[in-house]
Amino acid sequence: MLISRAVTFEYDKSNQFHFPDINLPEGTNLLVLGDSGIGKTTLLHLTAGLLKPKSGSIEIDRTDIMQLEGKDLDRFRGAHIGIIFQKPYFIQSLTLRENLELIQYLGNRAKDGHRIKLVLDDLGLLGKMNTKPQYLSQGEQQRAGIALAVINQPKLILADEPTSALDDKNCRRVIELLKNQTKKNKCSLMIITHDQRLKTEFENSIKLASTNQTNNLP
Amino acid sequence: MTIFKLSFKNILSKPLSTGLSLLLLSLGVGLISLMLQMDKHLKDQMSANVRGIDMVVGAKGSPLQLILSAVFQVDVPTGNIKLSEANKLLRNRLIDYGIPLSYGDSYNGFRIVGTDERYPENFQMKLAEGSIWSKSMEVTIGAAVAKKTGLKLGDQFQGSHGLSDGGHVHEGQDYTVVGIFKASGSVVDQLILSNIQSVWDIHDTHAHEEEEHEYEEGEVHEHEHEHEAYEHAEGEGHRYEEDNREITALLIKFKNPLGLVQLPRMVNENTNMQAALPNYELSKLFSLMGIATTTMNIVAMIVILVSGISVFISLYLSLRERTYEMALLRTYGASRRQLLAMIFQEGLVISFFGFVLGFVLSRVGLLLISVFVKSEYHYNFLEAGLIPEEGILLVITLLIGFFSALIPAVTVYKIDISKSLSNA
Repeated sequence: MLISRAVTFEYDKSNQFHFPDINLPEGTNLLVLGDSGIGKTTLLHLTAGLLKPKSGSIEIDRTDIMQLEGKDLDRFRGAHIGIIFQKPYFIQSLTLRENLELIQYLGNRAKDGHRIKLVLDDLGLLGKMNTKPQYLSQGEQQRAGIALAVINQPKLILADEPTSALDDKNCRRVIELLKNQTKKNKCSLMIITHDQRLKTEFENSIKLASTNQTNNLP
Repeated sequence: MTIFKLSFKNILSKPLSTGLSLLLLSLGVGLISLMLQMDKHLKDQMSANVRGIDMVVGAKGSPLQLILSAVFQVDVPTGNIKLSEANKLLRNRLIDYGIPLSYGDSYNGFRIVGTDERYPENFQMKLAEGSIWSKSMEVTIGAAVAKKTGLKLGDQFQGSHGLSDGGHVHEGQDYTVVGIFKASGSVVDQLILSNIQSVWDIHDTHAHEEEEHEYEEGEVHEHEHEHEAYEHAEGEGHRYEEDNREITALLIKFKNPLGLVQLPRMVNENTNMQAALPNYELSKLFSLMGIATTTMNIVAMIVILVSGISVFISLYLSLRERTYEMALLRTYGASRRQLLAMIFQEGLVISFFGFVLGFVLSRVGLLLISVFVKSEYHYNFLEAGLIPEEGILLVITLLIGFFSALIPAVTVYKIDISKSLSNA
């Protein structure tokens, strides 16, 4: 599903990253652990095609995303990758249902009200369908963020620190939901976090170490 | 939910700033559109009234006043001219014809004008009922007069001296309505027309009355008969000629464009009369009006520009708040082009609806002015279709919408998704 080889990236000469190779077969989960500033978010953005690596290759669903440019890359991302952010954001002028409809439209999916209800029901948000997301409680917003990521049934879900702001109880609940949703939607999940609590929840994990980062500053 | 719908939702989600932009835009557009319409209607109507009149001859005084009183029937006349002198002028071979006008009396504020059949003919007046006057004290009235006063065929009324209500009433001398014209939009709608003889008769008897302080009914009729006999005897060419007769003005049509060059000068230098060219006086008047309308248009244009700035600020501020939203849209698959389209749509949709609102506003204003002005100045503003200048105004408004969206759009185009997401 996701295969990355010898990916490097540099913001500038003094801030370079070498990332370990990743091999994520279809329907599996991977935890990427690492401390702050080690390039976790950079790795996520590289994988999502939001940043371009300096060298190496990233292949998602047998497509080399480094070969994609501009509009095609945006299309591919919308159709195949779902992203869950640390703090969920929404289009403020739209209701939760309209947010999901927009994502279906941008991901080149037909408008599917049934699918929207199904996903929201699963996440216990059916009653909030016509509410604007900023009026939801924090827990509801977190779950709504998951709905946004899975609505298009992407092959790959990337989660950036989905639990770092949550207490233990909610942390376990969100992880449970994430695992459930990825299993139900038959997609792969890569979670990037510094949250050590998740270590026990996932079988596969890799650790980003500071040796991966070259810092040329004296 | 498409990008197009999203831009509408975005506009609707900030009613205050959208409302402000719309208010400013519609005010500016409404003002300009109103000015354009008024300008067009005034010019159309005035030009229609000048049709077929190349030159106006009247007593010495202000040429504009002469034109306003003799052609548009809105000002007081400059005085009277001698009929004999007028007839002498009409023998000039550069003149096709001259229509005599004699006025000074009114009924309920509507002017009673003595003239001949060529006057209504010049404005292509058609009769709604009845006929043109055939003898003294018979009148044919304009459509607006009939409507406002309620006069019908066969009705009789008395004129009063002067051009406004409250003058001395010419008692005992009744005019009879013998015809009513169809509405034409020209000045004749507002007039009561009779032959010149009627005007003379009234004032002749009036003079007698003052001398003798008594009044005999038979006298008028005698007088009338005398004149009819006189006219028949004299024949076509010099119908009104009599040494002490006076008329108020003469509307002249040239036979030859050379008249335009020679006649006004000749009249002004060699006679006691004054010649004025309606087209020349009108263009002077329009250029004076032009200063006022130009000033108004500049003010309105500034209002539109300010509204453009308001659209810009509203788009720009909301974008700064929504940078993350834009990055989010990109991660969900929106291309740069789609986001650009969204921003431009927001600007254009606001400016388009601003224009539509302004258009409606101008028509409401026109309606109000029409209701108010129609009773005062007898001008009708109601035919208010879209005029070409308003098409240009629409283009300008849309351009302003486009340019106010330009900088925000460039900002969106340049958004670094990765950075925007990390900084949020």
